[in-house]
Amino acid sequence: MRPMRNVPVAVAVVKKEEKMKLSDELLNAAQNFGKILGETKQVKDFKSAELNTINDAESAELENRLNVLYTHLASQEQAGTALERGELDEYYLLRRKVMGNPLISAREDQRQMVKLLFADVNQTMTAILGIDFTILAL
Amino acid sequence: MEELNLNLDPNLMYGDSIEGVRNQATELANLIKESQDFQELLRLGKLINLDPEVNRLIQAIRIKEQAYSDESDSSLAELHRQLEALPAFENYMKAENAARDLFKSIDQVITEVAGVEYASNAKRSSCGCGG
Repeated sequence: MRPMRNVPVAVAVVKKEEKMKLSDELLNAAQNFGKILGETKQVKDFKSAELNTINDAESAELENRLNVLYTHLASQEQAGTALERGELDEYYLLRRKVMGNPLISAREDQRQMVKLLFADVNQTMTAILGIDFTILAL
Repeated sequence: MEELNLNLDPNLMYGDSIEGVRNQATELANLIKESQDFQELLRLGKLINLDPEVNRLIQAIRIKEQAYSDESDSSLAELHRQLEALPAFENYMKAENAARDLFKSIDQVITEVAGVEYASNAKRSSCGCGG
């Protein structure tokens, strides 16, 4: 089963991993880069669209139901249990509803704009480093 | 009349801000490139590329992987074990892990400040599905 693309994974989360100590220069450069990215229209629009889905009870409830069902199905699949047709049908129906929700759809459109921008900028880093930054960062 | 192709001109697509973002990306990438962890990764990468035993084992693994079908065949695992036991390769893997820690920490800082995950969104999709 492929990961769902409508789960709001792009929103920053507080990571619990221990961060390596960066030199002051690197820390400043990473902060400056993060700051200017955060000030772009793409990121602002995405955050705004994300907030709209969070604040809308129907969107939030739809996504929550989808996430719960997805987690349930994924854990069954991982355990080697055959997935029930009824549950799969429910999942696909729910996913269609989620993707058809105008607020969620608007957020996903904005997410694509963020991805285009980030991928474009990442090429600048890749050209300098000689390797794709994301390969070692993920 | 000249035809504008918005997809080919990021400045039109993203506005003037793209240059500022690229400048910061350039500054950051140059600092990463100068860092000890990254330089060590490059140095050891060059060394293992020149190491005949590492190259022999990598080649043998590639051939085995292409032909691999029998799950009970342990020779592939044995080749991996031999490769990992080579001091040159072990040192390279240590350097790669250190570089990974560095990149992950940088990504975490960017993400925290931008408020949107950087690397996972910057990663180009390989599925051709537009994701």
